[in-house]
Amino acid sequence: MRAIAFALALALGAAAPAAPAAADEPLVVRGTVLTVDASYLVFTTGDAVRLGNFCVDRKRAWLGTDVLVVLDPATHAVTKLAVDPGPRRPEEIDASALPRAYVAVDPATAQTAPASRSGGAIGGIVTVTISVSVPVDTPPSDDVYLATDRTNFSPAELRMNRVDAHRWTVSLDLPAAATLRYLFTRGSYATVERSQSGAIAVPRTLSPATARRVDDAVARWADST
Amino acid sequence: MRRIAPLVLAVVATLVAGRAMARAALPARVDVRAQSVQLYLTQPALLTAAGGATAAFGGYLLAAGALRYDLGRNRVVASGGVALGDRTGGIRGAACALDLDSGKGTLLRLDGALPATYAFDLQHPQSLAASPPEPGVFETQETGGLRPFVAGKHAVVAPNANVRFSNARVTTETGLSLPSPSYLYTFAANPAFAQSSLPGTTFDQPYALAGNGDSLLAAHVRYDATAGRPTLGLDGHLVDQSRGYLIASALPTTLGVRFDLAGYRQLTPTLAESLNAATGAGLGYALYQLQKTNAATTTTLLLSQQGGLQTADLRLSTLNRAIGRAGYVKFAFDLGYDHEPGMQPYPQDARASLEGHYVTPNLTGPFGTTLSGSFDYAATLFDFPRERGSSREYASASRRITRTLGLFGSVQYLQTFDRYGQNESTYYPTTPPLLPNGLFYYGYSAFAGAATYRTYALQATYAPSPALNLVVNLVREKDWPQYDGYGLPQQSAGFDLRLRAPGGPTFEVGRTFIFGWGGKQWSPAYTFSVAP
Repeated sequence: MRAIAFALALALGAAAPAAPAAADEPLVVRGTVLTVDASYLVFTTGDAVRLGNFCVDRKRAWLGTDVLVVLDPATHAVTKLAVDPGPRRPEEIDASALPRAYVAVDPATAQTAPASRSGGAIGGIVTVTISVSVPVDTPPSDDVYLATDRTNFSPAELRMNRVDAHRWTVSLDLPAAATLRYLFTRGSYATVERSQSGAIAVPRTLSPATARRVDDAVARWADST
Repeated sequence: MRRIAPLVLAVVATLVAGRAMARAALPARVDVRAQSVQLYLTQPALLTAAGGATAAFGGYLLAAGALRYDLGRNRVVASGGVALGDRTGGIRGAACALDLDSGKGTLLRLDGALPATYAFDLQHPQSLAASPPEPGVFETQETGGLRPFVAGKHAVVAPNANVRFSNARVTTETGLSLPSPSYLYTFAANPAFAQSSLPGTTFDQPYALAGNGDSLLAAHVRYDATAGRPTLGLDGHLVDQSRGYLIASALPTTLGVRFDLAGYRQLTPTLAESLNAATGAGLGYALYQLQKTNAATTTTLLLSQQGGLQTADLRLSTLNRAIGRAGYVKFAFDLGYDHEPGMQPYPQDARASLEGHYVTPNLTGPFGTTLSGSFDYAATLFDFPRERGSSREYASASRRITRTLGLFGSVQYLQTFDRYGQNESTYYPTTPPLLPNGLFYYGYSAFAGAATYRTYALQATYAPSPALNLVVNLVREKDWPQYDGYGLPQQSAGFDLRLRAPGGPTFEVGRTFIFGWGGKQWSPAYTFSVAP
């Protein structure tokens, strides 16, 4: 039964997104390390690759380290490893898109599909644009600010750019895996946004991995009477 | 008895279930130790520990070469000789991920023929079940290129509230790292912790002293450019989820210690009350507000006392209402009563106010512009012969020139009046003031409470990327009364530049040139801020 499951995993692996490298070329994989032992390097995707004869410093705290590994097309083992690699190059693939044939895994716990959670965008920085429409009775001379959990909701954290009389926008660079919680203010907590009924507004949530552009609307301000 | 028995059984069952779940509930504290424990201000915040890392919580001990604690999601990922257990035993593996909320985790073992993962539950850690890992279970926030905000060897986490480091080094906004015998970082999700009752100042660096998920006591190192001296303030927060907060603060000033209080409470989904008060340092005021919001209107009761003046207001206002495609209107009516013992000629006065507000919808104008306008009018009639009011006409045009460059222009005419009828000269004497250049401003003789403020503004925004944002403002103020050094500068040109170094914080600097107004070329100071 295990053999069947393993064969099925390998077969499905063949249908996984093709790596840019040809079958006889080394595979270059970028990923974040979960752990390393004498035989395996495990990415935070949960996928392990064989170290073969390649030696690594096992005393190092590998957790969370970004690496670039080169895998041999025949043995599927690591032949090169670079820590904290520089800019991404075209021939690389993300660890989340690692072909299943390269993954060393017990058939009982085999994943039958690539471990990708976010199309490979879990790493890196992405630009997110937040736009907001403010109530029409907003004082025209006031600026609008973004207050986020990055500063424990400092009410004048980031001044937004005016688009027209009632719309404002700002772009942020955020880690793709981040979750941003934010509110709109007019520069102080006395002018923070509130719900339509006047209640304290629950911070909005943004995940850059799933949304690069959001359009919000402020129902009312705290100083509205 | 038969009727009571099922109820008793249900209560007991609930209590038993509660006790069973208690073990898996979020621990009250997680004690993290390692050769290096660091806090990163990622979103959410991340605590990392490397070099003989341990995390002790709820009777369990997790030991590993390194671990990462996602403070927002209460998830721990550990790797390198992982051992997890309590006094009754435990499990070992190469890595593990543990959800502290549910007590469920995933263990990775590399000691078999092939790598394998197992699901486990903290309540029965030895009961491992071979299972593929949940997607993303071992992933945590990236820290590449980031500097830790706090570093030390020991930290105690109060989940969903704060983390306290002992013998820490803290990175300040200037980039300098300072030693601190103890440092409390609050990451409680409640934005009410950002509310402050301390008055505004030039620089304010909070330093948390104690707190939990519902409270925070913090010292504030402040510098006020106007007073020209540093001060040390103190404030305390009590928050009730998103239903309310109460903040009290104390701040030494040159006039004595100033005490402030700010509170808000949601009484029902549509009824809320708030209180703001200050005393000491020559101040003495309190403002209480009770507000009820319905589908179409807002009713507000305002009570205030400032010095000897007591006021009460009952205000009824509509919400912004669309009038077809013609725009939006809002009206408000206010009945007020003022009482000030000893005030002449009348110690008490009643007043009525009416306000109207109209806004056009956004209109498409020539040359690809977007046009908008508004008109406001407000008037207050007092029992004592006096009328006060204002009208404002505002128009704006905006145009996006390119994807990165936008223009915004506006014109505002604001007229205010404050008339006392036959007593006008008592309140607005026509004595001409002396100008800074030594001449009299004779035109002021005509001022009798009515004033006009005309503002013409043009703003250009250049924002090619989040790392660069430049805003340039040109403003012309044509007011009356307005004379050399009095009122707003007649012309001003300002800039606001925001820059972010790769992987670093965002710096924002701004200043305004005022063309010699009142003998000065620049606005008093630069504005400067640092953000993540």
